[in-house]
Parts: sequence; structure tokens; C-alpha cells
Amino acid sequence: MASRQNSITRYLAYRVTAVIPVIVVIGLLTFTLSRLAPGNPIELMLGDGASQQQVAELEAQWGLRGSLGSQLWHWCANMLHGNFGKSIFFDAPVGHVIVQHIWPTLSISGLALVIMIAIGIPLGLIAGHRRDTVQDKFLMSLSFLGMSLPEFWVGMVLVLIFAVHLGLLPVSGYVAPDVSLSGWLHSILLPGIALAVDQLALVARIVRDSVISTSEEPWVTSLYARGLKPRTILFRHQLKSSLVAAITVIGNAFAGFITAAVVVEIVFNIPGFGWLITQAAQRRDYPLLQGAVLLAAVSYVVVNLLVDMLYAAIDPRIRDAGA
Amino acid sequence: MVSKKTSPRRSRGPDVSVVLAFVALAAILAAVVLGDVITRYGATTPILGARLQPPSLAHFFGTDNFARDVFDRAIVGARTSIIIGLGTAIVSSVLGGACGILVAVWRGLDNFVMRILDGFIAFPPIILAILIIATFGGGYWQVIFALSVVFFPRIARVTRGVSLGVTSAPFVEAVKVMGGPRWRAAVRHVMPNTIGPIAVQATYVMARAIVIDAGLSFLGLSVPPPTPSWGNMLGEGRLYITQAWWLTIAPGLCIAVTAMAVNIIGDWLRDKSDVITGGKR
Repeated sequence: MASRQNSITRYLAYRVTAVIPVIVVIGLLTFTLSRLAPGNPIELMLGDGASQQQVAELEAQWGLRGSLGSQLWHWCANMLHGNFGKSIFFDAPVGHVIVQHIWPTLSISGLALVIMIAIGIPLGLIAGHRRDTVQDKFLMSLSFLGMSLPEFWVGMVLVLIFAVHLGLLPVSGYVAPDVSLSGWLHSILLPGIALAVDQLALVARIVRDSVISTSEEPWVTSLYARGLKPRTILFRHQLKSSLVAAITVIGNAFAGFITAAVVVEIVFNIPGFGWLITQAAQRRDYPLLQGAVLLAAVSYVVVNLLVDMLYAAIDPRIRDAGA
Repeated sequence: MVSKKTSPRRSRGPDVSVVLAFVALAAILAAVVLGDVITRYGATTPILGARLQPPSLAHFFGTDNFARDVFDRAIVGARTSIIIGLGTAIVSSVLGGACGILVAVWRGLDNFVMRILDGFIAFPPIILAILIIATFGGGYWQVIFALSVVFFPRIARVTRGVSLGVTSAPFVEAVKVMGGPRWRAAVRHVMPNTIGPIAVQATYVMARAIVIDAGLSFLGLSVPPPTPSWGNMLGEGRLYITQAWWLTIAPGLCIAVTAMAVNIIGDWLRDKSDVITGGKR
């Protein structure tokens, strides 16, 4: 028991330290790109009629004076204090603006995650269990289709069918859950499905591969030999090891959802995180863009770290290999 | 990206989907090369009195809000997608391949370079692309550059893995023992063995680049509007989604068919190179 505890701690220490250089690179890359942008951010912030003194004050405040090295130092200090600057377009602190717009994105991503797990895993189990049958081939072609389609177009087609043609759901817009719960559900349903399609297809494929590879393993053969029903073996035993494989996909799903949400939110006119990034890019609101991009990248790293830890907690082979 | 394990018992005849994928890709490439010959009305010329008409024999994909022929626009739009898809695949393969081989042969660089590339990979693809395009502006070169920055670290990872396998093979060890320079091992022995896996990755990158570029054009952050692209056609079509379904369906189908054809060819290439390397990747 003691050695088990020990190997977990060592694995965690290893994974956490491995994250540090990645975060440093993320910061440097964002800093460099935001400094390469044309136009002085101070001029953009203040407009044309700014006095020399105002410019100098803001430059000092945002650490835009002095050598590049000292600028980088200031920038890092600001970022570490959660001081991302002020959005030019929204005229409010960047952190504040992002927090205001994060909930719609979390709503549709959360729904997409539920759909992905609830549909992707059973589909993968069925396809893997009935390998090389018509059902398997049909499901896998469908999954191939799902992975090739642009999510935002899937969203547009869903709008055409369910909103324009059948009139069941709203064409676009977002309703906050504290305004109307059913309105909220209606507004996130189609974008949630659009986000889920791609990742769902991937999960189904990974679960299928896992079922196929475990069905050749001795422990599954022994279960058959003991006379267990194929259904029990599939849903009790093979499912468990497929879940371990499926967990890794969840970390990637996070990046997948953010990427897809950028365009899907525009399709559905949802004022979320993706919408915010698009606005920032179109309006050249560099402080906002920089803050949002940093947040997206760092949270991706953190989510993957958490997934890895979960993975290590479930599968002892991983932490032994890592430590 | 796509992994499809099949039992070894299954015979590998010519697959219908592979043939269809090649036919589709040939048709799209024909549209890219012969665009001006195929178009009847032109991609930017309005047709008098033909605003928002549904698909018909005169207009296969209907007409848009500026009374332009959607089929002709889709034909010309193929150019944008294919140029950006191919461009990204080529640039990121060369860059990623070089990085991957470099760190596999000069092991001292490995940790340093790969941690930097991990940082690149931590950005969700479209978000890094948006940041780069917001910095350098939109246009063919900028978009290809942005998407290559997104994808080359992924190709570098795969190339590194393959190269490490090759460098530990006895025939490369032999070069070292005989005192041959490392660059010779890299160029003569490692590089040829990575070309297959890089080609497979390049096709997947091409498909993803086409899809991501469609999203960027939809947002107005890719090649700017007078040039038709499937993405910006969808962007304009969204405004008329309640009146003109064809403005949403036609360009989307073009993107879907292209991405799917390229993905299928990628899978086919991978299966072929699996046979050559004895199923090892």
C-alpha cells in the first residue's frame, strides 16, 4: 500500500513539473505574437486625441516602456496577477469580460460532453462487439462522416431542419438558465449536438478498437469459458477497459469543443467564449484576444493534466511507467 | 487521427470508397485547374433578375443574394480550399519532418525542442490560427503560415517517433560505428524511412486545414471576400438561411466531400504503408 501511494506521488510530481515548460512556451508565444501585431495598443486604447502624458502613463502601467526584456518581465508579472489589461471594445477589464461570456460556452460544451459519452460509448461497444458486420460498417462509415464534417456546418444543417423547416427550436440566440430553464435548454440543444458530432465519432471509434483488442485477451476468453453471457462480458467487463481508453479522449474533446465553439457560436449567435475571441480578432482588440488565447491554452494544459491524473489513478500501469 | 483496425483475416480488395474518393478528388482538382472553362456565368458577375433562385438546370446550385451563380462560385472557391489545404500540408510536412528527424538524430536537442512544440500543441488549433491571422492579416500566405504553425508540431511528433525507431536499427548503428557523420545517417537513412508516415499525416493535415480554413473564412478571417471560398459562401448564406437553403447546403457539401475524400485517401495510404512495414507504425 505504501509503495502504491509512493508511485502515485512520484507520477504526479513528474506530470506537474512537465507542465511548467509548456506554460512558459505558451506565455512567450502569446507575448511575441501580441507584440508583432501592427499598431500600438496604447494608441488603439486611447484613440487619436490622447495627450503625451496619458500615453506615457498607460505605457508605464502596461509595461510597454524600456527594453524588450523588462517589458516581458512586466507582462509576466501582470499575467501572473491575473491582470490581463483592459478590453478596448468592451471598455472593461479582460478577466471580467471573459467571465461574463464563459457560461454559454460551458453550457453547450457540457451538453456536448454528455451527448458524446451517452451516445459515443454505446455505439462503439456495439460496433466492436459486432465487428465486420453490416452494423459495424454502417456505424464506422457514419463515424468517418462525423469526423470529416465541419461542426459549424452540421450546426447550420440542424438549423435548416429543426428550426427553419420543422420550427421546433429557435434559429439562434442564447437564453440564460436563470431567465428561463426551458428556454436555455432549447437554445443550447442544437449547438450542443453540433459540437458533439466530431468527438462522438472519435469516442465511438476508440471504444470499438478497445473492445476488439480486449476480446482477444485471455481474461475475456476465460470469462467466456466460465459461461458468462456475451452481453454481460461486454457491458460489465469490456466496457470498463474501454472507459479507460475513452477517458484520454475527454482531454482532447475539451480542445475540440473550444475549437468548434468558436465558429458554432457565431452560427447560433451565442455570446460565448468563441464569439468573444472572434469579436476580439475582428475588432483588433489585442488585450482581449491575448487574454482569451492564454486562458484557452492554459486551461487545455490543466484539463489534460487532470485527465492524466485520473488515468493514472485508474490504471496502475501508467503511473508505474511514468515514475 | 483515424484509426481503423481490421482483423488480419479480412481480404484487402480495392475498396469502393477509395475509388470514389479518388474520383471526387480528381473532380475537385479538375475544378481548380479548369475553373474558368467550366464556369458559365462567372463567380462574381450578377445575373440580371436572378436573385436567390433555387437550384435548377440553369443554376445547378441556385443563385445567391447578389444574383451570382452558386455553382460557379463553388467551382472558383475550390481553388482557395485546395491551395490552402495543399500549402499547409506541404509547409507543415517539411517543417515538422525536419524537426522530427533533427531531434531523433541529435538527441541532445530532443527535450528542449519537444517541450517547445508541446507549448504549440497546447493551443486549440483554430485559436492559435486566429491569433496569428489577427497579427499578420488574412491572405493565402498568412493563412497557410498560421495553419502550418498549428500543424507542424503534430507532424514533428510522429516523425520523431518513426525516426527514433530507425536510428536504433542495426544498419544505422553500423553507420555510427563506421564513423560516418550524423547528417549522413539523417539524410541517407532516416529521412527515406519517414516519408511514408509523413505523407499519411500530411493528408490528414490537408483535410483538417481545409475544414479549419472554412471556419476561418466563415468568420471573415481568411482570404478576404471578393475571392469566393466555400467558407465565406457559408458565411453569406447564413444570413439567408430562412429563405435559401441551397446557400447553406451547396458549399457545405463541397467542404464535406473534399475533407472526406482526402481522409479516405489518408487511411488508404496508411493501410498501404502498414503492409510495407509489416503492420508496424
